[in-house]
Amino acid sequence: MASERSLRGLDGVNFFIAAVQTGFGAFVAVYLTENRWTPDEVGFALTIATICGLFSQVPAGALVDHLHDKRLAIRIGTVGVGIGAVLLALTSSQAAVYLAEALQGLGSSLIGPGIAATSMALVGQQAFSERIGRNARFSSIGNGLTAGLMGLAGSYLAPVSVFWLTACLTVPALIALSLITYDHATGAGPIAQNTRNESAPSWAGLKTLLTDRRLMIFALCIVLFFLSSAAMLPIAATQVTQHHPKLADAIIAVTILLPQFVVAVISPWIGRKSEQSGRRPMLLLGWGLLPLQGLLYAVLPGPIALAISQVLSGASGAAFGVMMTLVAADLTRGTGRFNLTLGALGVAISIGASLSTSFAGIVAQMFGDESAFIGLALAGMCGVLLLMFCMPETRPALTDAAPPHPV
Amino acid sequence: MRHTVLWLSAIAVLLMPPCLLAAPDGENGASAPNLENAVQGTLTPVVGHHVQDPEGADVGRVWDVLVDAQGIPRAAVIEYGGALGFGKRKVAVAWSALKFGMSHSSDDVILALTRTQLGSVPDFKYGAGDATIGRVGGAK
Repeated sequence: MASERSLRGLDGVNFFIAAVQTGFGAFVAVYLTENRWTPDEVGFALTIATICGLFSQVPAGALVDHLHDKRLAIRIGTVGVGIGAVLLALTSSQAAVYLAEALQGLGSSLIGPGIAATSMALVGQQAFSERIGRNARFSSIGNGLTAGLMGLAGSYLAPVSVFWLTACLTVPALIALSLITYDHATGAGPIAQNTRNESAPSWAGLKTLLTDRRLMIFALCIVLFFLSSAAMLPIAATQVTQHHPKLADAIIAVTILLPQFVVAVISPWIGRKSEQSGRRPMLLLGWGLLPLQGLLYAVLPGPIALAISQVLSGASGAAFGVMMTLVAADLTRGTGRFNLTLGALGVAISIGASLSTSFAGIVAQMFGDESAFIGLALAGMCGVLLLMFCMPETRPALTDAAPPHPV
Repeated sequence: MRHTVLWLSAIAVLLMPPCLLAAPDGENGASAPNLENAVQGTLTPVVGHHVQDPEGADVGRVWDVLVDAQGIPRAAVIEYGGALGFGKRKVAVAWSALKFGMSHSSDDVILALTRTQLGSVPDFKYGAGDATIGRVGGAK
């Protein structure tokens, strides 16, 4: 086990990097609109980050697998995102905004796998589950607090202050990263020990990955998870705006932050539990809550449904976040393709999320919002059934004879 | 192999800027038009402008202006509500529901409808045939 200092450093990295990431997305849209960008232009700018993220995830994952020092991926990614934030703060010219969005998309592709790989290298496979839960806890606290803070800064100072704040937050992120060091006493450190038998990233590696049936099933489950979940909040929030004009904005702000607190509370428990009773129960918990949310929205419209569903969404999101990393780790044990796999699953997320919005939009237009919620619930139900009947348990046997490296 | 991957990543990054940096620089007409001077401040940009309800509270912003076959504005699409990127709505309101130059600061735009009233106007969707438009004195 790595030193206390390194582990606290990793907590800090998760917290501050989540904080840095918060500044992009919704805040960029507000900022650009205030600078008289047309809706199409704003949409295009935000799409750049998505596209860059989508196409760089798999190569970035392969790169992280290949890196000797996994911290490097986080460092480069964070600096990239930080430069993006400074660009946004300095100017709202098209070239700068496009570049900033590209940097954010590319940086995020490096940061995600980088953190997972650094965690793996620090704590080893045995303590990995709990560590991933802990990572999720600190990320969601960082994300929630910063979203609140930036919301206030954006409304009471100026929209641009959000990006200065974002840029400043990269400094503590990099400081926390520098606390993670190689521990000579225990041999634990950010230099992965199980890379020694790793193959270099290659088409053959990608092919082996793509023919793993369990991974294909899991990827399909992830597509269904996001197909079911991504469009629920947007539709429900718009309904609240329509029917509760006085308090809508405050209700929506609070209910968006609710899941962050749920994730912060239960993620470590999910990590622990998945080590004790296996991955399948936690997977079924995460996916099983989706149809419930859809039904809640369909039968009980309004702020109450939104609040309850958002708590459930926090629970299913926490289970999803922890289990995606763990199952990827389980399936790639000793192969050196952990991060490549995380990247590929990231693509599955993007596919599911983009399908969700179009699917729900079409159903809502033809049959109304209730039908859209039912449709989304059904997509979640398909995920549950797929998990239940096709997805095997992936947790390595508890008495593993050959741990990847000495603890 | 190792170098191939690193080089490919580097090339991918280097290829990015040219297409991203190609920003159009303003609009230049083909032939010289007749020029007319207008005093800045007497003209108000409408799209993106915030609108206020009769009590002075911010309602939302003008998303688009809908004109008829003669080019006369008939309705404005107002975007309002939401937080952190969620919950925004778009509704069409009659052009006559927008009042310009009414209040003390001249470029304020007043919308003669409250958020409660906007709630009973259905969502505006582009290309959806008929558009339901909210107007003053209409739906409660």
